[in-house]
Amino acid sequence: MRIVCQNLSKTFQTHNSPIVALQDVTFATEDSEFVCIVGPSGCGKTTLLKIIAGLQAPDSGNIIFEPAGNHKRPNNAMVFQEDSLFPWMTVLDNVAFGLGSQGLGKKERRQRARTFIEKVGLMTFANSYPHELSMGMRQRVGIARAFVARPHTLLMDEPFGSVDAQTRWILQEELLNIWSEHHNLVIFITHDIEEAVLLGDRVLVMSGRPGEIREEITIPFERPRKLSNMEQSQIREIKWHIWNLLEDQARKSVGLSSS
Amino acid sequence: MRYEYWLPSLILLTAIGCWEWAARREVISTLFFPAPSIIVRTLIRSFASGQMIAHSGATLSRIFLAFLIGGLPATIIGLAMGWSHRFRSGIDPFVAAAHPLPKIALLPLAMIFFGIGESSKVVTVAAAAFFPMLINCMAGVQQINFVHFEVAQNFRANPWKVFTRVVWPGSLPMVITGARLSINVAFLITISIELVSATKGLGVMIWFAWETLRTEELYAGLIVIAALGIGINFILRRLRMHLVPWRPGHES
Repeated sequence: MRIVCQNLSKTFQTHNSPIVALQDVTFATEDSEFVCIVGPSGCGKTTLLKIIAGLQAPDSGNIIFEPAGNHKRPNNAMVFQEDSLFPWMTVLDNVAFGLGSQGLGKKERRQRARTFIEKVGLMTFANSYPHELSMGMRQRVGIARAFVARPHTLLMDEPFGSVDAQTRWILQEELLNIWSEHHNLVIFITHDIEEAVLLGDRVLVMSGRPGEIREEITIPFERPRKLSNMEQSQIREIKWHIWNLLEDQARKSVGLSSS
Repeated sequence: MRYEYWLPSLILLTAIGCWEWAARREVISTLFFPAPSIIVRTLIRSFASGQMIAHSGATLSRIFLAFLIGGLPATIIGLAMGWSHRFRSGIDPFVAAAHPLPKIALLPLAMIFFGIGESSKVVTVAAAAFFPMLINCMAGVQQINFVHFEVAQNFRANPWKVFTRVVWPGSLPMVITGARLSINVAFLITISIELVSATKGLGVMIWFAWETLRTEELYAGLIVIAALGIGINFILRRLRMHLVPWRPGHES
């Protein structure tokens, strides 16, 4: 599946003044690509993702999904930035929830859920409640829940943002492993430039207020990627290129004047 | 904090011991403070004669009936108000207006509508039990993190599913809190009404004991009321432990 966004615009009305979250955002993905969107806080990345997910409606513009997608598999599944597991369900039930609307029996749902819980290495915690898990483990469950329904598209909103750096490396590798099996289209939002370069086939650099795509950068590294073995100088080069695009705005959003 | 039961027990026993001693020696008035041993004897006697059971039964049946009649609609309306902004904005003014009214003061009005029998009493108590339940149910839904609704929407859950898998379990801790407050209020108002106008019930027993200056029966009645209160709250706590095995308020 690929997604084509045309002239997406969204403005939020606040007490002070309207915020232009997105202005004529236009881009297209390739089939089954891993696309990273990187940008500073508040640049509209989350809004864009939610619009693609159908959780919010754009003020104007449209999104085209090619192919239209069969109804067996859901269009998209989202991995949220914050803790989004249902605290009142076990890990198993949380993951099985991803299959809820596919007309499967309970046994079948749980069976498939178990498969994916195993893929993220949490089999021993299948009957635990989220409060018994660390943040990194909860995010793995969230990823399992998103993958279990085999959606055409995976929308990931800074899924590793609230996890410590070491856990992040582990989760990044796990994500690539699972993705290489199913090759859904992935749209991955992050503010971490290095993460975007390590994971993505392409990186869309986004700036905000108003939110728009500044540049599209193709990442030259081959797959499968072993994160520890990658060519560091090339990574650095791309990173700094992206940072140069974003620096001014990042400084502004933190309250510093441009250098 | 682990409860060290020995200390409060020691204090209690010491206090009772002193009371017993003081009553036997007539240091304190046995009209106001009959000896604990006499109170215990009165308790045993009233249970044996079935009188205490009859009064307790009348009180408890009023409480639970009123809790059902008041609590069930309160749960439905409260959950609906929490879930739907529009519904809440429509109903909230009425709730805000009715809530501060002292429900006991509604008894005369209820008696006009329902006569002087059981119905008017139960309806008044139900009105009192209604509001704590409604407000807690509404707050229960409102405190559900919005992301859970987004997850449900993202995974294409229909409204029934959203109710059974998000709204109900998410609000359950506060629903139980509401039930606890509601039953306690129902207890309070029931006893109050029984003091004023009833033929059977713990409040009646207490009032009659006062009128006939049989203070030991008064104390016996109070002890039974306290014990019932402790019992009801204990059951609700256990119920909560069973229904809510997860830990609310621990989302990071």
